[in-house]
Amino acid sequence: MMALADTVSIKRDEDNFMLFDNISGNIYRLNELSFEILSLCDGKNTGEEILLSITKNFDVTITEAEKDFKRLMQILSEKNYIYDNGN
Amino acid sequence: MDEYTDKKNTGNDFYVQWHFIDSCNLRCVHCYQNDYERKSLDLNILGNIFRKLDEAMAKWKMKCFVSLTGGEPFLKPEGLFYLMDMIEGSDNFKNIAILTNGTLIDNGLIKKIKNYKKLAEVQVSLDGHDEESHDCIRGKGTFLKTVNSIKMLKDYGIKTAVMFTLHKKNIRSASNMPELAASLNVDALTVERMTTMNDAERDEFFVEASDIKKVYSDVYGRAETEFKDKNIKLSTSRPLWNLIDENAGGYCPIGLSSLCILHDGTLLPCRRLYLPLGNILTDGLFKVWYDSDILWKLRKRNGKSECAGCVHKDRCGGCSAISYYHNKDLNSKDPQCWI
Repeated sequence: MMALADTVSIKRDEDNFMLFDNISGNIYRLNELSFEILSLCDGKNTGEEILLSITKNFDVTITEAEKDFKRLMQILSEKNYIYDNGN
Repeated sequence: MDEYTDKKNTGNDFYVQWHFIDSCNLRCVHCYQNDYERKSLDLNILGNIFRKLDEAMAKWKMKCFVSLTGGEPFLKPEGLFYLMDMIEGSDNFKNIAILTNGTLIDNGLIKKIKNYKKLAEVQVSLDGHDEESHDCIRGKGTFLKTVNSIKMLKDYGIKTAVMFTLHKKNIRSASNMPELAASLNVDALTVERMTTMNDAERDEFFVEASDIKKVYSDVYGRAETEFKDKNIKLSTSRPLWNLIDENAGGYCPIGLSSLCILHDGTLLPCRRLYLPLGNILTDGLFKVWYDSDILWKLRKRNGKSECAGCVHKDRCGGCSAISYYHNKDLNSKDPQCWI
Protein backbone atom coordinates (compact mmCIF):
# COMPACT_ATOMS: atom_id res chain seq x y z
CA MET A 1 0.00 0.00 0.00
CA MET A 2 1.22 3.48 -0.84
CA ALA A 3 2.29 5.85 1.90
CA LEU A 4 3.66 9.39 1.87
CA ALA A 5 7.27 9.68 2.96
CA ASP A 6 7.94 11.29 6.35
CA THR A 7 9.94 13.96 4.56
CA VAL A 8 6.94 15.50 2.83
CA SER A 9 3.76 17.21 4.01
CA ILE A 10 0.59 18.01 2.15
CA LYS A 11 -1.62 20.94 3.05
CA ARG A 12 -4.92 22.39 1.99
CA ASP A 13 -5.31 26.11 2.56
CA GLU A 14 -8.73 27.24 1.36
CA ASP A 15 -8.59 26.55 -2.40
CA ASN A 16 -4.85 25.94 -2.53
CA PHE A 17 -3.44 22.44 -2.41
CA MET A 18 0.24 22.01 -1.75
CA LEU A 19 2.94 19.42 -1.25
CA PHE A 20 6.03 20.42 0.72
CA ASP A 21 9.43 18.77 0.58
CA ASN A 22 10.64 19.22 4.14
CA ILE A 23 14.23 18.39 3.18
CA SER A 24 14.79 20.61 0.14
CA GLY A 25 12.22 23.25 1.05
CA ASN A 26 10.59 22.90 -2.37
CA ILE A 27 6.89 23.58 -2.70
CA TYR A 28 4.62 21.98 -5.28
CA ARG A 29 1.14 23.06 -6.21
CA LEU A 30 -1.36 20.21 -6.50
CA ASN A 31 -4.83 20.07 -7.94
CA GLU A 32 -7.66 18.99 -5.70
CA LEU A 33 -7.85 15.49 -7.13
CA SER A 34 -4.12 14.87 -6.56
CA PHE A 35 -4.42 16.24 -3.04
CA GLU A 36 -7.30 13.90 -2.31
CA ILE A 37 -5.37 10.93 -3.66
CA LEU A 38 -2.35 11.76 -1.51
CA SER A 39 -4.52 12.28 1.56
CA LEU A 40 -5.65 8.70 1.13
CA CYS A 41 -2.10 7.38 0.71
CA ASP A 42 -1.74 6.63 4.41
CA GLY A 43 -0.29 3.13 4.11
CA LYS A 44 -3.67 1.62 5.03
CA ASN A 45 -5.88 2.21 2.00
CA THR A 46 -5.47 -0.07 -1.00
CA GLY A 47 -5.21 1.37 -4.50
CA GLU A 48 -8.70 0.11 -5.20
CA GLU A 49 -10.11 1.83 -2.12
CA ILE A 50 -8.45 5.10 -3.10
CA LEU A 51 -9.85 4.90 -6.63
CA LEU A 52 -13.30 4.08 -5.32
CA SER A 53 -13.25 7.07 -3.01
CA ILE A 54 -12.06 9.34 -5.81
CA THR A 55 -14.78 8.28 -8.25
CA LYS A 56 -17.35 8.73 -5.52
CA ASN A 57 -16.30 12.28 -4.63
CA PHE A 58 -15.12 13.65 -7.98
CA ASP A 59 -16.71 13.76 -11.38
CA VAL A 60 -14.29 11.28 -12.96
CA THR A 61 -14.63 7.82 -14.42
CA ILE A 62 -12.72 4.90 -12.96
CA THR A 63 -10.49 4.88 -16.06
CA GLU A 64 -9.63 8.57 -15.68
CA ALA A 65 -9.04 8.22 -11.96
CA GLU A 66 -6.79 5.20 -12.50
CA LYS A 67 -4.77 7.10 -15.09
CA ASP A 68 -4.30 10.13 -12.78
CA PHE A 69 -3.48 7.88 -9.84
CA LYS A 70 -0.80 5.94 -11.72
CA ARG A 71 0.76 9.11 -13.16
CA LEU A 72 0.87 10.78 -9.77
CA MET A 73 2.36 7.71 -8.10
CA GLN A 74 5.04 7.53 -10.78
CA ILE A 75 6.06 11.19 -10.42
CA LEU A 76 6.13 11.04 -6.62
CA SER A 77 7.93 7.67 -6.50
CA GLU A 78 10.71 9.10 -8.68
CA LYS A 79 11.20 11.88 -6.14
CA ASN A 80 10.97 9.41 -3.22
CA TYR A 81 7.97 11.29 -1.91
CA ILE A 82 5.85 8.15 -1.81
CA TYR A 83 6.65 4.51 -1.25
CA ASP A 84 5.05 1.08 -1.12
CA ASN A 85 5.07 -0.03 2.52
CA GLY A 86 4.77 -3.68 1.53
CA ASN A 87 1.41 -4.29 3.19
CA MET B 1 2.31 19.23 -10.07
CA ASP B 2 4.01 22.61 -10.43
CA GLU B 3 7.05 23.66 -8.45
CA TYR B 4 7.16 27.32 -7.58
CA THR B 5 9.56 27.68 -4.66
CA ASP B 6 12.40 29.47 -6.44
CA LYS B 7 10.26 32.12 -8.07
CA LYS B 8 8.59 32.83 -4.76
CA ASN B 9 11.58 33.21 -2.45
CA THR B 10 14.63 34.39 -4.35
CA GLY B 11 16.07 37.54 -2.86
CA ASN B 12 13.47 37.87 -0.10
CA ASP B 13 14.43 38.46 3.50
CA PHE B 14 13.60 36.16 6.36
CA TYR B 15 13.71 37.53 9.89
CA VAL B 16 14.88 35.42 12.82
CA GLN B 17 14.96 36.54 16.43
CA TRP B 18 17.41 34.18 18.05
CA HIS B 19 17.39 34.03 21.85
CA PHE B 20 20.69 32.13 21.98
CA ILE B 21 20.96 32.51 25.76
CA ASP B 22 18.17 32.56 28.34
CA SER B 23 20.25 33.79 31.26
CA CYS B 24 20.01 37.44 32.22
CA ASN B 25 21.67 39.75 34.72
CA LEU B 26 18.46 41.75 35.24
CA ARG B 27 15.01 40.86 36.53
CA CYS B 28 12.75 43.35 34.79
CA VAL B 29 9.24 43.50 36.18
CA HIS B 30 7.55 42.90 32.82
CA CYS B 31 9.89 40.24 31.41
CA TYR B 32 8.30 37.29 29.55
CA GLN B 33 11.29 35.10 30.36
CA ASN B 34 10.60 32.56 33.10
CA ASP B 35 13.87 30.73 33.31
CA TYR B 36 16.72 33.21 33.35
CA GLU B 37 19.10 31.81 35.92
CA ARG B 38 22.72 31.83 34.82
CA LYS B 39 23.57 28.69 32.91
CA SER B 40 26.46 27.60 30.76
CA LEU B 41 26.19 28.02 27.03
CA ASP B 42 26.42 24.98 24.75
CA LEU B 43 28.32 26.17 21.69
CA ASN B 44 27.77 22.81 19.96
CA ILE B 45 24.02 23.29 20.10
CA LEU B 46 24.34 26.87 18.86
CA GLY B 47 26.60 25.72 16.03
CA ASN B 48 24.11 23.04 15.01
CA ILE B 49 21.23 25.51 15.09
CA PHE B 50 23.24 27.90 12.92
CA ARG B 51 24.00 25.18 10.36
CA LYS B 52 20.33 24.16 10.14
CA LEU B 53 19.30 27.77 9.65
CA ASP B 54 22.07 28.48 7.16
CA GLU B 55 21.17 25.41 5.14
CA ALA B 56 17.48 26.32 5.09
CA MET B 57 18.19 29.87 3.90
CA ALA B 58 20.47 28.52 1.15
CA LYS B 59 17.80 26.11 -0.08
CA TRP B 60 15.12 28.76 0.08
CA LYS B 61 17.45 31.26 -1.63
CA MET B 62 16.50 33.77 1.04
CA LYS B 63 18.66 36.17 3.03
CA CYS B 64 18.36 36.01 6.79
CA PHE B 65 18.23 39.11 8.99
CA VAL B 66 18.97 37.83 12.46
CA SER B 67 18.55 39.58 15.79
CA LEU B 68 20.74 38.02 18.46
CA THR B 69 19.37 38.35 21.93
CA GLY B 70 18.62 36.56 25.18
CA GLY B 71 18.32 36.77 28.11
CA GLU B 72 21.17 39.20 27.86
CA PRO B 73 23.51 38.50 24.93
CA PHE B 74 26.48 40.32 26.47
CA LEU B 75 26.31 38.07 29.51
CA LYS B 76 28.11 35.44 27.44
CA PRO B 77 30.06 37.41 24.82
CA GLU B 78 31.83 34.22 23.74
CA GLY B 79 28.49 32.86 22.52
CA LEU B 80 27.58 36.10 20.82
CA PHE B 81 30.88 36.32 18.95
CA TYR B 82 30.80 32.62 18.09
CA LEU B 83 27.50 33.18 16.30
CA MET B 84 28.50 36.50 14.78
CA ASP B 85 31.63 34.92 13.29
CA MET B 86 29.59 32.20 11.59
CA ILE B 87 26.91 34.62 10.41
CA GLU B 88 29.51 37.05 9.08
CA GLY B 89 31.00 34.26 7.00
CA SER B 90 27.76 33.07 5.42
CA ASP B 91 26.27 34.44 2.21
CA ASN B 92 22.85 33.39 3.46
CA PHE B 93 22.79 36.01 6.19
CA LYS B 94 22.28 39.64 5.33
CA ASN B 95 22.42 41.54 8.62
CA ILE B 96 22.78 41.15 12.35
CA ALA B 97 21.15 43.16 15.10
CA ILE B 98 21.93 42.75 18.78
CA LEU B 99 19.10 43.31 21.26
CA THR B 100 20.46 44.11 24.71
CA ASN B 101 19.66 45.72 28.03
CA GLY B 102 22.87 47.71 27.64
CA THR B 103 24.19 47.21 31.15
CA LEU B 104 27.17 44.98 30.36
CA ILE B 105 28.66 46.77 27.38
CA ASP B 106 32.17 48.17 27.62
CA ASN B 107 34.72 49.67 25.25
CA GLY B 108 36.35 46.33 24.58
CA LEU B 109 33.09 44.72 23.53
CA ILE B 110 32.13 47.67 21.36
CA LYS B 111 35.49 47.64 19.57
CA LYS B 112 34.96 43.98 18.86
CA ILE B 113 31.37 44.20 17.55
CA LYS B 114 32.34 47.16 15.37
CA ASN B 115 34.50 44.80 13.31
CA TYR B 116 31.48 42.94 11.99
CA LYS B 117 30.42 44.29 8.60
CA LYS B 118 26.97 42.72 8.91
CA LEU B 119 26.16 44.43 12.19
CA ALA B 120 23.23 46.65 11.26
CA GLU B 121 22.14 47.86 14.65
CA VAL B 122 22.36 47.49 18.40
CA GLN B 123 18.95 47.87 20.01
CA VAL B 124 19.05 48.90 23.65
CA SER B 125 16.07 48.75 25.99
CA LEU B 126 15.08 51.86 27.90
CA ASP B 127 11.77 51.54 29.70
CA GLY B 128 11.63 54.98 31.27
CA HIS B 129 12.63 58.48 30.32
CA ASP B 130 14.65 59.07 33.48
CA GLU B 131 16.51 57.20 36.18
CA GLU B 132 13.52 56.81 38.47
CA SER B 133 11.05 55.54 35.88
CA HIS B 134 13.53 53.16 34.21
CA ASP B 135 15.12 51.80 37.37
CA CYS B 136 11.82 50.87 38.99
CA ILE B 137 11.27 48.49 36.05
CA ARG B 138 14.79 47.25 35.33
CA GLY B 139 16.59 47.66 38.65
CA LYS B 140 18.57 50.25 40.55
CA GLY B 141 21.45 51.78 38.67
CA THR B 142 20.46 50.39 35.28
CA PHE B 143 19.40 53.68 33.67
CA LEU B 144 22.80 55.32 34.01
CA LYS B 145 24.62 52.17 32.85
CA THR B 146 22.35 51.81 29.82
CA VAL B 147 22.52 55.47 28.84
CA ASN B 148 26.29 55.34 29.16
CA SER B 149 26.40 52.31 26.86
CA ILE B 150 24.24 54.07 24.29
CA LYS B 151 26.62 57.02 24.32
CA MET B 152 29.61 54.72 23.87
CA LEU B 153 27.95 52.87 20.99
CA LYS B 154 27.19 56.17 19.29
CA ASP B 155 30.74 57.44 19.90
CA TYR B 156 32.02 54.38 18.06
CA GLY B 157 29.68 55.09 15.16
CA ILE B 158 27.45 52.07 15.72
CA LYS B 159 23.85 52.44 14.64
CA THR B 160 21.90 52.38 17.90
CA ALA B 161 18.18 52.13 18.52
CA VAL B 162 16.18 52.53 21.70
CA MET B 163 13.38 50.09 22.47
CA PHE B 164 10.68 51.17 24.89
CA THR B 165 8.29 48.43 26.00
CA LEU B 166 5.03 50.13 26.89
CA HIS B 167 2.83 48.98 29.77
CA LYS B 168 0.78 50.41 32.61
CA LYS B 169 3.80 51.02 34.86
CA ASN B 170 5.67 53.25 32.43
CA ILE B 171 2.86 54.78 30.41
CA ARG B 172 3.66 58.25 31.74
CA SER B 173 7.20 58.01 30.41
CA ALA B 174 6.22 57.13 26.85
CA SER B 175 5.65 60.59 25.46
CA ASN B 176 9.00 61.73 26.91
CA MET B 177 10.93 59.05 25.06
CA PRO B 178 11.36 61.05 21.83
CA GLU B 179 13.06 63.80 23.82
CA LEU B 180 15.39 61.30 25.47
CA ALA B 181 16.11 59.62 22.11
CA ALA B 182 16.90 63.01 20.60
CA SER B 183 19.21 63.97 23.47
CA LEU B 184 21.10 60.70 23.05
CA ASN B 185 21.12 61.21 19.28
CA VAL B 186 20.23 57.57 18.64
CA ASP B 187 19.26 56.38 15.19
CA ALA B 188 15.81 55.05 15.99
CA LEU B 189 13.19 54.80 18.69
CA THR B 190 10.68 51.98 18.91
CA VAL B 191 7.68 52.17 21.22
CA GLU B 192 6.02 48.78 21.36
CA ARG B 193 3.35 47.32 23.56
CA MET B 194 4.09 44.64 26.15
CA THR B 195 2.29 41.35 25.54
CA THR B 196 0.49 40.41 28.72
CA MET B 197 0.41 36.62 28.80
CA ASN B 198 -1.93 35.80 31.68
CA ASP B 199 -4.59 37.33 33.92
CA ALA B 200 -2.11 38.46 36.57
CA GLU B 201 0.03 40.25 34.00
CA ARG B 202 -3.06 41.75 32.41
CA ASP B 203 -4.18 43.19 35.74
CA GLU B 204 -0.76 44.61 36.41
CA PHE B 205 0.40 45.81 33.00
CA PHE B 206 -2.37 45.96 30.37
CA VAL B 207 -3.03 49.34 28.81
CA GLU B 208 -6.53 49.97 27.50
CA ALA B 209 -7.07 50.77 23.83
CA SER B 210 -8.08 54.40 24.42
CA ASP B 211 -4.84 54.97 26.37
CA ILE B 212 -2.78 53.31 23.63
CA LYS B 213 -4.34 55.71 21.15
CA LYS B 214 -3.36 58.68 23.29
CA VAL B 215 0.18 57.43 23.89
CA TYR B 216 0.80 56.63 20.22
CA SER B 217 -0.57 60.05 19.18
CA ASP B 218 1.57 61.84 21.77
CA VAL B 219 4.72 59.91 20.90
CA TYR B 220 4.15 60.48 17.18
CA GLY B 221 3.64 64.21 17.68
CA ARG B 222 6.58 64.61 20.03
CA ALA B 223 8.82 62.62 17.67
CA GLU B 224 7.91 64.94 14.79
CA THR B 225 9.09 67.89 16.86
CA GLU B 226 12.10 66.32 18.56
CA PHE B 227 13.43 64.48 15.51
CA LYS B 228 13.06 67.43 13.14
CA ASP B 229 16.39 68.15 11.47
CA LYS B 230 17.84 65.07 13.14
CA ASN B 231 18.52 61.73 11.57
CA ILE B 232 16.35 59.80 14.03
CA LYS B 233 13.56 57.52 12.98
CA LEU B 234 10.46 56.64 14.96
CA SER B 235 9.96 52.95 14.11
CA THR B 236 6.31 52.63 13.28
CA SER B 237 6.35 49.36 11.38
CA ARG B 238 4.44 47.48 14.05
CA PRO B 239 0.67 46.92 14.22
CA LEU B 240 -1.64 49.82 15.17
CA TRP B 241 0.80 52.59 14.23
CA ASN B 242 -0.98 52.80 10.90
CA LEU B 243 -4.03 54.07 12.79
CA ILE B 244 -2.01 57.17 13.69
CA ASP B 245 -0.47 57.65 10.26
CA GLU B 246 -1.91 55.71 7.35
CA ASN B 247 1.54 55.56 5.77
CA ALA B 248 3.06 53.98 8.87
CA GLY B 249 2.60 50.57 10.40
CA GLY B 250 2.69 47.26 8.73
CA TYR B 251 1.48 43.77 8.74
CA CYS B 252 3.34 41.76 11.35
CA PRO B 253 5.51 39.21 9.48
CA ILE B 254 4.63 36.48 11.98
CA GLY B 255 3.98 33.23 10.12
CA LEU B 256 4.92 34.82 6.81
CA SER B 257 8.61 35.66 6.90
CA SER B 258 9.79 35.43 10.49
CA LEU B 259 10.46 32.98 13.30
CA CYS B 260 11.86 32.96 16.79
CA ILE B 261 14.50 30.43 17.88
CA LEU B 262 15.28 29.74 21.53
CA HIS B 263 18.68 28.69 22.89
CA ASP B 264 17.82 24.99 22.66
CA GLY B 265 16.43 25.13 19.12
CA THR B 266 12.77 25.44 20.08
CA LEU B 267 10.88 27.36 17.40
CA LEU B 268 8.16 29.87 18.25
CA PRO B 269 6.10 32.06 15.91
CA CYS B 270 7.29 35.03 17.99
CA ARG B 271 8.99 35.33 21.37
CA ARG B 272 5.88 36.95 22.74
CA LEU B 273 3.68 34.10 21.53
CA TYR B 274 4.81 31.07 23.49
CA LEU B 275 3.37 28.34 21.29
CA PRO B 276 6.25 25.92 20.57
CA LEU B 277 6.08 24.77 16.95
CA GLY B 278 8.86 22.19 17.06
CA ASN B 279 12.63 22.17 17.26
CA ILE B 280 14.95 23.16 14.42
CA LEU B 281 17.50 20.53 15.52
CA THR B 282 15.15 17.57 15.46
CA ASP B 283 12.41 18.63 13.04
CA GLY B 284 14.31 20.94 10.72
CA LEU B 285 12.99 24.33 9.76
CA PHE B 286 10.99 23.33 6.69
CA LYS B 287 8.86 20.69 8.40
CA VAL B 288 7.82 23.17 11.07
CA TRP B 289 7.31 26.02 8.63
CA TYR B 290 5.15 24.00 6.25
CA ASP B 291 3.37 21.69 8.64
CA SER B 292 2.46 23.79 11.65
CA ASP B 293 -1.27 24.40 11.99
CA ILE B 294 -0.48 27.40 14.20
CA LEU B 295 1.54 29.03 11.44
CA TRP B 296 -1.19 28.29 8.87
CA LYS B 297 -3.71 29.92 11.14
CA LEU B 298 -1.48 32.99 11.51
CA ARG B 299 -1.19 33.22 7.72
CA LYS B 300 -4.92 33.73 7.28
CA ARG B 301 -4.94 37.45 6.62
CA ASN B 302 -8.70 37.64 6.55
CA GLY B 303 -9.13 35.62 9.70
CA LYS B 304 -10.12 38.53 11.93
CA SER B 305 -13.82 38.67 11.18
CA GLU B 306 -14.39 41.58 13.56
CA CYS B 307 -12.03 43.60 11.36
CA ALA B 308 -13.70 42.65 8.07
CA GLY B 309 -15.34 46.04 7.60
CA CYS B 310 -12.41 48.14 8.84
CA VAL B 311 -10.91 50.55 6.30
CA HIS B 312 -7.44 49.79 7.69
CA LYS B 313 -7.66 46.01 7.35
CA ASP B 314 -5.27 45.72 4.39
CA ARG B 315 -2.48 47.53 6.24
CA CYS B 316 -3.10 46.34 9.78
CA GLY B 317 -3.66 42.91 11.25
CA GLY B 318 -3.03 43.72 14.87
CA CYS B 319 -0.75 41.77 17.17
CA SER B 320 -1.70 38.08 17.11
CA ALA B 321 0.16 37.43 20.36
CA ILE B 322 -1.82 40.03 22.27
CA SER B 323 -5.05 38.76 20.66
CA TYR B 324 -4.21 35.20 21.61
CA TYR B 325 -3.49 35.88 25.26
CA HIS B 326 -6.40 38.24 25.62
CA ASN B 327 -9.09 36.42 23.63
CA LYS B 328 -7.65 32.87 23.38
CA ASP B 329 -7.90 33.30 19.61
CA LEU B 330 -4.98 34.13 17.30
CA ASN B 331 -7.28 35.60 14.71
CA SER B 332 -9.44 37.77 16.92
CA LYS B 333 -9.29 41.55 16.95
CA ASP B 334 -6.32 43.11 18.69
CA PRO B 335 -7.74 44.11 22.12
CA GLN B 336 -5.71 47.32 22.09
CA CYS B 337 -7.10 48.51 18.76
CA TRP B 338 -9.18 51.63 19.37
CA ILE B 339 -11.18 51.52 16.15
